[in-house]
Amino acid sequence: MSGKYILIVDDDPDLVETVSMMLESKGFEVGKAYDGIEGEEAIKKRRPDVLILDVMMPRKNGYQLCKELKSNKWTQEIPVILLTAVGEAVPTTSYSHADGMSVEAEDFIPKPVDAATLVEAVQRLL
Amino acid sequence: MTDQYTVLVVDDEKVLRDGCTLVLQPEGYRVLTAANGQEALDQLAAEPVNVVLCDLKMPVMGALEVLEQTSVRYPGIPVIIMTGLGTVADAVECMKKGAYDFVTKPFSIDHLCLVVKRALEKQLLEQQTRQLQEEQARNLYNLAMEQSRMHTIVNCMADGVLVTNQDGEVVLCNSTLMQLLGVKAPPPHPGPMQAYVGDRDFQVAIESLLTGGNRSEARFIAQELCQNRIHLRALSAPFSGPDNQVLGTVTVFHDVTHFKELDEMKNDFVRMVSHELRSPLAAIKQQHAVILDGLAGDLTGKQRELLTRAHAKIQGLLDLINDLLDVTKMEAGYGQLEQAPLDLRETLGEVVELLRERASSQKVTLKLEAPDGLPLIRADRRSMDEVFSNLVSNAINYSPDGGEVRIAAVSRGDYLEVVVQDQGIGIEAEEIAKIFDKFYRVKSPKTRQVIGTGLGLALVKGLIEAHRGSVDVESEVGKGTAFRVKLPTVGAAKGVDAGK
Repeated sequence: MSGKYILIVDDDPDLVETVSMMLESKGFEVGKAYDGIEGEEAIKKRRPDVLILDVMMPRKNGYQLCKELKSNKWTQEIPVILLTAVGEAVPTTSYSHADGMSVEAEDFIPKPVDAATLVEAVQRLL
Repeated sequence: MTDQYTVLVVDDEKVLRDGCTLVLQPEGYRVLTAANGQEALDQLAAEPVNVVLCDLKMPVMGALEVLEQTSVRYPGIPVIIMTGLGTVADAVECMKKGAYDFVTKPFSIDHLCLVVKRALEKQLLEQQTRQLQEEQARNLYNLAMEQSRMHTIVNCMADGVLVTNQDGEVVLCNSTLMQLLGVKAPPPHPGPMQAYVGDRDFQVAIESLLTGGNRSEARFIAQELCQNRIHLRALSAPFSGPDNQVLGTVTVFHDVTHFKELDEMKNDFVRMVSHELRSPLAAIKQQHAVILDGLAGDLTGKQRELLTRAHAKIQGLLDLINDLLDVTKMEAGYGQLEQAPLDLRETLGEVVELLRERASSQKVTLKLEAPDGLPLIRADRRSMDEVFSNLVSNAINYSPDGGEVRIAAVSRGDYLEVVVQDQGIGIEAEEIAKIFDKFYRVKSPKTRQVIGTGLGLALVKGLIEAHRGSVDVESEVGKGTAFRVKLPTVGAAKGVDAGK
């Protein structure tokens, strides 16, 4: 998976670090940003092959950033995985899934992130 | 002798006074005598007298004057006039003035006795009549008092009271309830329910109490409703006549707005704290996962073991927080529940599919019995998911190796019944009442291994009741437990509507 660039945007540095360790161990190149605005700038600097986006963030939240990217023809092709804490109490994820889909994210992963699930989701979108 | 009667004989002739005394005393009367009207009045003032025998013409004061006085002062005492034949006309005049009777001199002993006796009887009857009249007046007064007292009590109650007749029309609504409901002027009595309580569910409940419905069910309905931003808890019960026919309903309304606000604050607080706890916990769990995956270097066996156990504890905490969030969501109101016709067979199928892997890892078989053509229920899909996931995963957790969990859905007319039956350790009888309480967990060596939050069944019960269903449990220690869920079908809900 060398050469594939994944951008992770989350306001919790611990989460960013662990997610990038999971991806780096599989040979991905990882970029880091810590809120929506920083994420936006990072995307302008280097277009990611997959964007991993937290929902609850200061300045600009994940839903907002995702919507903006999807309505811009230069960025709408970037696959987005949303990380959120909503709806993990039940074995089904249909509820949270529906929320993610309404902002046209390609996938949804509940927090805390499971390495196997994450890597599988990323690979599917490449 | 207490019931000895006293006769006052008034005559200026001593012979006659003595004669009367001689006649009346043997008959059991006490006899007083007076020589003229003035003496007679003095006697009357001095002691009680039952009958007066009075000569017509006397010196100092005659019978006419005596009558004038007695008719005013002693109206209850009959006066009998004694008169000579030549003065009968005067005697008649006396009768007009209120004398009871007259006897003409000379009179026979029998005649005198008879007249006196009749006078006494008349006096007695008058007394009784008077007593009865007084009693009646008193009763009427008491009745009026009782009515106004009831009226006052009902109107002064801090709770609202609403009474309907057989047709569901409002016949009584106390002033507290008028205020609570925001009803300005009292509509005509009996008035339509719509003019008082707009809540459709309440109207349906009253109708169902009036039509009798299922007699075996508890004969009262508890509801919560909201009108003009005031939250009311309503307890409705029917009342019946002597032949058990329902004549109407009585509902007591209690204002629970304040509790609702407190509850809301509590829910907000729990929600906020839960969110604040969840994020760092999720991060910690993820860090553990990275270490356990060996991404941060190799681990010794012991390190791995300790971290794995810590990992499970963190997961337990995350589950608890998620359940807490679900409970607050549930308590925040069922208004958000999206209730659409739902084929429960699909939901049960999905739940069983999702849990099959976990069941087989614990060597438990899942068996779903849901025949074709089950009636639809009106329900929130996600809630039903949650209810049956909870019940089935509980059943798996408490099942022995090789056990079977049976999930069976059956149509029972107005409602759909789902039984989740396991062959597990069972629940002690004294625990059964408590298992639906929040945070309650059965503590025993056999259940120690099962990780749980104690919120699952509270959630199940809350969600089912929000769907107007019920859940009960039968259990035998060592044999197994069965949870029986009843949910009204779409048809049943329509039936109530059609009854309107």
